[in-house]
Amino acid sequence: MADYSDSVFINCPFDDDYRGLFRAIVFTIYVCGFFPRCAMEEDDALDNRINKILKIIDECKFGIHDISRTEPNPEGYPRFNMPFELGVFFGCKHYGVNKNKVGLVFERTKYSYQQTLSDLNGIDTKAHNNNYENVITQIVNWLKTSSKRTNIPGYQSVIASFDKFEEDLPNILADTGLTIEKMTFNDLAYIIEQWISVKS
Amino acid sequence: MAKSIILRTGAKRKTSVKKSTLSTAVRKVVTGSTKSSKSVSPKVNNKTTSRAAAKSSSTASATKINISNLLKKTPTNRASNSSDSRKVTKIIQAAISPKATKKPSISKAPTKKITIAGTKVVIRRKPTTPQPASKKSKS
Repeated sequence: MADYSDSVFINCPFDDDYRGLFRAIVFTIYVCGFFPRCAMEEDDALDNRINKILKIIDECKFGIHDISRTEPNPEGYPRFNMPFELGVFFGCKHYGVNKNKVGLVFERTKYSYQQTLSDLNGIDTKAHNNNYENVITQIVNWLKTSSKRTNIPGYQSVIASFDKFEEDLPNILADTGLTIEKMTFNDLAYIIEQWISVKS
Repeated sequence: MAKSIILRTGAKRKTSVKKSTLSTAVRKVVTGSTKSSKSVSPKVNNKTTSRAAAKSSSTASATKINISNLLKKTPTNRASNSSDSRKVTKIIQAAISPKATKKPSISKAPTKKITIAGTKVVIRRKPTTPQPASKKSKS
């Protein structure tokens, strides 16, 4: 995969309600010149999920963590996956070999994490209010600041490009037999790569 | 100025549909043609920046692309890309320090030629610098 300093680990929910924001995150990472990684990229039944996550976190300098969806599921159980992976990322930053990790923590409304994850007090989280434009803006600004790269485009340009991509996506999928709901992370990533290549 | 980014691609990622099918569908929608108009040949980037990257068994692909066409010009990046930015800079500089753009002019020493007893005499006055408006009005 890509170099350590180009790789961005995505730690977010993978449910249907979050798909739009997830596409915005993946698209923004590509357009800014980075490479998205997440636990859904490998489908190896012989490797357990936590091993995959540990390997990916080890190989990524950047991490985007969304802890906005920790409310109970229809069965009444809260989801601990995102806070847990955020904890692993923090641990890797402090005790691991690659300590220069940089993280962006999203939540739905500012400081709501203090109700569920008060250990994070002092961390400057970003609220996205379930709005994809907020997500793109925060990621672009964060990547610019933390990577110090000068060729990262402005967030308004990225939002405009993402809108165009979202217009094209249903037509692209119609020719491939895929649907927005069922396509895999690797399908999405490859389509975005091709779309950027053809469009540029 | 056109910005160029390195498009990082996951060459080894397995898609659920053939990659050629996906790329053809993208080209058909974006360009209206199924033929590739330009060759996108990812070059293998072997540069490793960390132990973690060195451990990775798969190769990384990176294609340098120009995203100027992809990114529509918006008010935020337009100013930096055109001569407007230079005009804006001048206006700002003038607003901050009006005198910075204009040097104070020193008047030439006025001369007066007169004839005294058949001899031509040239009288030169001391050069004067422009006085502030407030002082002039007082005098």
